[in-house]
Amino acid sequence: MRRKREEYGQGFVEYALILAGIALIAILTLNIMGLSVKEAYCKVITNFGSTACEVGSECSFAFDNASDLDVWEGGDKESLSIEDGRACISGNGKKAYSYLNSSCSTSLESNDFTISFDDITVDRLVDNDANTGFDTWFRAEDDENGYLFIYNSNTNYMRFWKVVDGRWIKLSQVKVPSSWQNESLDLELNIEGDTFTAYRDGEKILEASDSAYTEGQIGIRNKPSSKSCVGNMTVESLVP
Amino acid sequence: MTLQDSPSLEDFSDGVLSPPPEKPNKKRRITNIMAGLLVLIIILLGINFAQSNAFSEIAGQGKISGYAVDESNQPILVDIIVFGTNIRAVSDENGYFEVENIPSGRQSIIIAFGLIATEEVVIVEVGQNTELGTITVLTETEIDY
Repeated sequence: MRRKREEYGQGFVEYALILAGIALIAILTLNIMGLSVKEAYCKVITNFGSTACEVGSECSFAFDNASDLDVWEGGDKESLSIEDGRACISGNGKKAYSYLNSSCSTSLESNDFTISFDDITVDRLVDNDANTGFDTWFRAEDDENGYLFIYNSNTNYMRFWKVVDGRWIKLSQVKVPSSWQNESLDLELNIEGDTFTAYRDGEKILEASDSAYTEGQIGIRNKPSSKSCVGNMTVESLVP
Repeated sequence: MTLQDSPSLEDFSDGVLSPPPEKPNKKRRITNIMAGLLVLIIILLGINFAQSNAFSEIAGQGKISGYAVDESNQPILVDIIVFGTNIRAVSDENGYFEVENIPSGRQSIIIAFGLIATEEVVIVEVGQNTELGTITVLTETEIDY
């Protein structure tokens, strides 16, 4: 009877196991270093000249037409409109409306960025005791968790807040001139690491520091009794 | 091997057959590599787990306690939120609160009166009660709803 010849070489399964093991080690190592596989892959292929992973350095909204509002989710859609090349949010005196944009922040190459607004105006729309003003969400999970920079034109304060489960924790504040109520404001928010700085016309107004939220959506918010409008909005990545 | 070439009984008069030849070195090397990879994977999995929230919960938990008062030093009912977890609690009518099963380490404790909150950052130690003392919650803070 002929015996089957014993094979001593490694088989396909062994090679597959080794490859799987090396892949797993690579993933675990990246994980420990705080990198995702996608990030590592993108770094490598970008160094080889590929543009497949390229992300935008900015997202901007001219608010010239209604399609500019498609990416803003939340609030009451009918309260958000385009008027004369500006985005306007109208309050009803009862509730503040927030509109978040998930696509803008995820399309940026960094969680550090500058948000610039041109031509912000706030008008009292409802004659009651409720607040008026225009706010900005950043690094927000939703409209109950994240950071808010607010301009309260009712009390003439600007503040940075941290919001956790809808609870507001004040980070910093500054009293601003009441004359700002009647002016068009150009504001810039610099979000870098755990430091947040607000500027008006290039002049620093307010600074805050916190590290609870490291990423998330950006958004705009209008206080209950006002109509807030903004001409242009640009979010520009800060690359180290 | 043909029948004619096969060994006869006489060939074994001095003892049994010598043991079969060892597997080639290449085979053993592959086995060693696989064993090495396995050890490395186990180590890396361990490091990953040690960095996870689950580990800090398994490693140990502690509790916090304290009193919440308003600006007039009167006890108030507050909600307690441990940031980044699902742990929630409320104080009693004396403003006293006690929250157990908090993962050890640096924790941010949110003490909320209505929608206004203050934050206390504490180090929770395993099996220990971290006293926050008396915390004044600013109930009259102007809020920007």
